[in-house]
Amino acid sequence: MTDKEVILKIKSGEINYFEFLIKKYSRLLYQYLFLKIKNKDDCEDLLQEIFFSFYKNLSHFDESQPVKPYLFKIAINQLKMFYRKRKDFLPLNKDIADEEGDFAILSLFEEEEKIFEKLNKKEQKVFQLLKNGYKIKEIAKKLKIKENTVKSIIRRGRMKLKVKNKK
Amino acid sequence: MKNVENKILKKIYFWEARKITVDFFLKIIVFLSSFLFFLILGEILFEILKEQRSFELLNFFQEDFEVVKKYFFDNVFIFWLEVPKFLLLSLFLSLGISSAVILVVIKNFKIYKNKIKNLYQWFLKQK
Repeated sequence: MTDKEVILKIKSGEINYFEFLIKKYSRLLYQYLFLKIKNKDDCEDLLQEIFFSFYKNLSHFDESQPVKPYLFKIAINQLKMFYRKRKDFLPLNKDIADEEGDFAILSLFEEEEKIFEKLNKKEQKVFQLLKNGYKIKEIAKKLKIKENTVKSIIRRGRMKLKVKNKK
Repeated sequence: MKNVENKILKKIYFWEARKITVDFFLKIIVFLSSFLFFLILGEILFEILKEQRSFELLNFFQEDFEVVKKYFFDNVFIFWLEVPKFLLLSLFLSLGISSAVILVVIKNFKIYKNKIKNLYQWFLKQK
């Protein structure tokens, strides 16, 4: 049975035929995802999302078009979203988990004053305020910048620190 | 891999079941409300026309063919002038909506049937 026939069957309401597509492409997609993110659980989640998103948009899918490139296109988009989501929570190291708990970074600064000096003035100011117990909201108010800007500065600082730590 | 495949299928079947249920209820609600609206408006329009004695304008249909031919356009035009337009428009609109719902259901009947059949089989298999 070709993909086109399967798609037509699904469009006519025989949703059990979707299993055929899952069986045909899941392994291939899984391998691709695993190559990219190298985490079994994340790969499985993304695979679910890819097929679910494909099923939801099946009514708009032109059955004369090949399925594989379409699935990979969804996979690429899902990966982009995954990376974007993960970027928000990029930790400096294992000890540092959440945005509010950035005091942990500061203990590192105390140990390595040189790293702290290598941050730019704005970053230093933000981290100094964090060290003094200020919350992101309060820092934003004090420095008259947006909360998201403060978060970005902290993220950049974390990344710099991560690079320095690796070195 | 088998486990993931089952998870995907489960997610899809549940989503489809929810979608069909919501779709079904929405269609029933839209159909019933528009049909009820149609009946009420029809009744009101009928009462208004009866009160205005507009139906008497149509009595000429019982006359000879020549008379009907002669007064047809005049009488129909007067009848049209006497009919409350907004009410008539609403009546046709509600009739149109309820007919559209019926037509959509008839058109997609095979798809609904197959989906319900497949969902039923899948849920039975899960038990």
